[in-house]
Amino acid sequence: MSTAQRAGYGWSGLRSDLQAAITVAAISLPQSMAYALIAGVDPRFGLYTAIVFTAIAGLLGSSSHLINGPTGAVSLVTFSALAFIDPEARLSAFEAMFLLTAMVGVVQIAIAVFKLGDLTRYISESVVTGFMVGAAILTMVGQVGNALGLKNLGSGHQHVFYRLWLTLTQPAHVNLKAVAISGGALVLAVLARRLVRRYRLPQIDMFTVLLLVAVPAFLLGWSRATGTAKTAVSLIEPVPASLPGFHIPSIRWGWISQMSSSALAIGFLGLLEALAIAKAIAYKTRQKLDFNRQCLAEGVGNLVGAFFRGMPGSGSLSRSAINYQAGAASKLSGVFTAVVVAVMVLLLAPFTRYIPKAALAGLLILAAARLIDIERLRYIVRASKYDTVLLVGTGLAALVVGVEFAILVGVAISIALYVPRAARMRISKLAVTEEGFVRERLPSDPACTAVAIFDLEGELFFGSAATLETELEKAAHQVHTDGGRHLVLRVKRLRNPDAVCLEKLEVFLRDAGKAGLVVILAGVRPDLLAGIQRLRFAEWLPADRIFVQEEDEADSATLKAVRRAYQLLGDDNRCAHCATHIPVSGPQRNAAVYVV
Amino acid sequence: MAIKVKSTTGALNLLAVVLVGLAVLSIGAKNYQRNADVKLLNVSYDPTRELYQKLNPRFGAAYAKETGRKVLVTQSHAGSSRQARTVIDDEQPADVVTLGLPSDIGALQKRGLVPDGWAARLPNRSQPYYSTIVFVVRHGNPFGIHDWPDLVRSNLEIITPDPKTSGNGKLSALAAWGAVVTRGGSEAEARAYLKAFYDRAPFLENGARATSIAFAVEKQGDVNVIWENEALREVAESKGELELVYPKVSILAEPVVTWVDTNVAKHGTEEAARAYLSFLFTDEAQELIAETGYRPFKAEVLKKHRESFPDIQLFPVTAIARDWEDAQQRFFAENGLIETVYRPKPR
Repeated sequence: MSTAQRAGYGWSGLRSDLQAAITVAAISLPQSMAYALIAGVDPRFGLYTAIVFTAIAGLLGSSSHLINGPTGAVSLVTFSALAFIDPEARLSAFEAMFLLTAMVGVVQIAIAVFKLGDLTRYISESVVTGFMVGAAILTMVGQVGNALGLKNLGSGHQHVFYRLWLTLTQPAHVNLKAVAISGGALVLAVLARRLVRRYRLPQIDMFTVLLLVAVPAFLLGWSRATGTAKTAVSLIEPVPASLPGFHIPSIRWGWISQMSSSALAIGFLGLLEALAIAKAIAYKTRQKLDFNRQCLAEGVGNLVGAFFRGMPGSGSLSRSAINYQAGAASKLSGVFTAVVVAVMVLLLAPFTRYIPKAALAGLLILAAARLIDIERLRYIVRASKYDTVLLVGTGLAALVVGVEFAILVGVAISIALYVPRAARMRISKLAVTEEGFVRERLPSDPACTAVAIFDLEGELFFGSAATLETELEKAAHQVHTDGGRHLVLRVKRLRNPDAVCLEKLEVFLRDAGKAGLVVILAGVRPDLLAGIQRLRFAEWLPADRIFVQEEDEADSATLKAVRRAYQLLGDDNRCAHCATHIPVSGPQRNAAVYVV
Repeated sequence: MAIKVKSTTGALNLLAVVLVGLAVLSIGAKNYQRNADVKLLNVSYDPTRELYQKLNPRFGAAYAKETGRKVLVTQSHAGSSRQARTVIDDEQPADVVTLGLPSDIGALQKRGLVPDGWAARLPNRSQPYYSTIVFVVRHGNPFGIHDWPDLVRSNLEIITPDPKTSGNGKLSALAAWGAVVTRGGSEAEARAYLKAFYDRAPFLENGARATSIAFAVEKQGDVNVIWENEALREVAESKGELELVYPKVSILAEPVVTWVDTNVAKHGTEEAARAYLSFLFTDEAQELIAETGYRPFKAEVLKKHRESFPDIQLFPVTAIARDWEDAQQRFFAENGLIETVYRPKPR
């Protein structure tokens, strides 16, 4: 570390980071417990994640402002990943979750080590936005039971809307006290955010709101067990006042295969989430991000977190934004946040037993609603039909198929929409002008039946092979009906030939040869030429049928090919148009050929 | 601040890969199962984890010595009645069941998984060990709890499992009931006592282990009404924070073991299952059983460990019902007695 760098950080940086950390920790505490509630596990595991995972990912990460920890979307997938375990075997579910966290870490480390972090950019932002909307709706639906004070019925196997129906139609009554708490939390949180915005207060609104509803609930005796030993509203599982200890997950081997697809889904999803947030903040701070490094940090964080009873985590949008706005200077802010959360757990744990589930449910519903960015949705829908399909498809997939498959479905839709686009092939007839330029043939151009010139444009991959075949046949057919025997194909705009397309080309050239049609390829690019050489076209195709594209972008290769076609045609030219332009014999004749 | 050098990434990648290796090794080592000639699944109740963790390797050694075959016993633990139900539903293809109450194996018998007269297939009516229900309180016994009436005297929280799913839960209820009726109380008084008892339970967990975690780790409640062996373990692990209280009377719990005939026939494991369960009645196993906090059936082994197991008055189930099956019917069946005094309080 150089002196300059030390001076660059120094005391003021340290102070900024600490200040930001205290603000972020205040929001991290309720959020972490709430996200554990989404995953269907004890709130302490959320807090442990907000300590161990946050510290490690913060320390190793590339972004200066990204705060990692439990997140809503990841917790939703975690919940469905754990659905295969009997809901009453809670201890097994916990161990399975630790294993899942480790598996997610391994997936993410693999992505980082093999430098696949950049692959995430191939997932369209519309897919991610659609996913977030789906996840937000699922979060809200999942918290309805807690907000109304009803016991959540059904297991993770069942569809979320069916579970909601079961929960709402059970014989028990809605608990009005719980509704008061969740509704109160919702309203207060909306007001608090406005106050914070207007007076630029520190953003500890969530924490404050939690206090504002939990304390009256306690004073009214709703969260205290008196007499009947059952509280009037249901409370979260209390958190012991201790730091997470080292624990090797005790597993069954079958769990690994049962959770592997979920681990992959969470691994990718977590990275997408973290990278998207890190990118958004880095765009403002002009920080240069190392994607693979960030992936590695997430992976190591999850892997190590798993051994301290952690749940899978990722980058948190709200906490990172607050960290940035609170003036964090470096990634130490993430480490400090973890330390502050740890201290708060030690000090405040005895009070967590008085937090009503309904209070967290109210805050979660609001947080989820805030994830639905109407402006952004409107922008995407206006921007293109293609993105609208991606957005709606991914969102619906999350709601109907399941949150863990939503991104996969979104990627599948984008491939399904992209391949036909990429497979489009343009074919057009060309003409050579009197001045010797090659251009698209206009209807006013005189009909020349001696040599037909066609241009092909597109990607030469499996998707376009069928189109290539029909277009080539059409061209050959037209030459045939015009009564000609010479076809020049300009191929300089064909890209990236693959085996399927090369085979189609070979079959076409061989068939044409048999049918007496002379086909000349003009403007062959190096990639196509290499393919032709590797497949040994030269063994059956005369060397003068291929004209390689020159360095320049001009059409000299095409012109050469056309000349060769006329040479091959020689005296057989019975074209009416050519007859008027080319002298019948003499030295003039050859010259004219060179003019075309 | 970290200085970005190319090699940092390389070093970090290496570190990450090493961590992955360590993670796989540690999880693998902890959960490793050897290749075995015979595999047995022992479906047991919640707190017997430690007991069978100790017994299984000893049995493996003895069995290998005798037959030359390697045996691997897999354990499964949860609330006793729940476990019986999963075996009936074939969710767990148990070779042997080692459950908390004879009525739980009775449920298997009713559905033809074990034959009538299963209890006579092993010594001592298939009861390798006894136990009872005791109290664990916090340091200094702040509520002055010494006997059953003390539990409902003050406004305190009782942590005990759900009688519908857990053997411990059933035994807690039967012990509480018996503590009244065996000492001259009427049935009405016993019912009132049981009602007061469950009113003081903030929640009812599914099994004994979840209950003891709630009490000892999460520090919920004031008194834990629990298996004697679980209480001994809890107190030993608490470093002085918890104290064990023996009530003046409690129930004689009779955990039973048997092999599941339909499953061992399918798996071809009857001989190994029989050997496994017979092993529980040997001196070697009885000694381990006593060390783990269960009262051995062999009188001479029990005598050796007398100081661990105070001689409190243990009433048999016949003091409150005809037998275990009758107790099950009367108290815990649909519309049984327990439903008039408690309602499910899941967490």
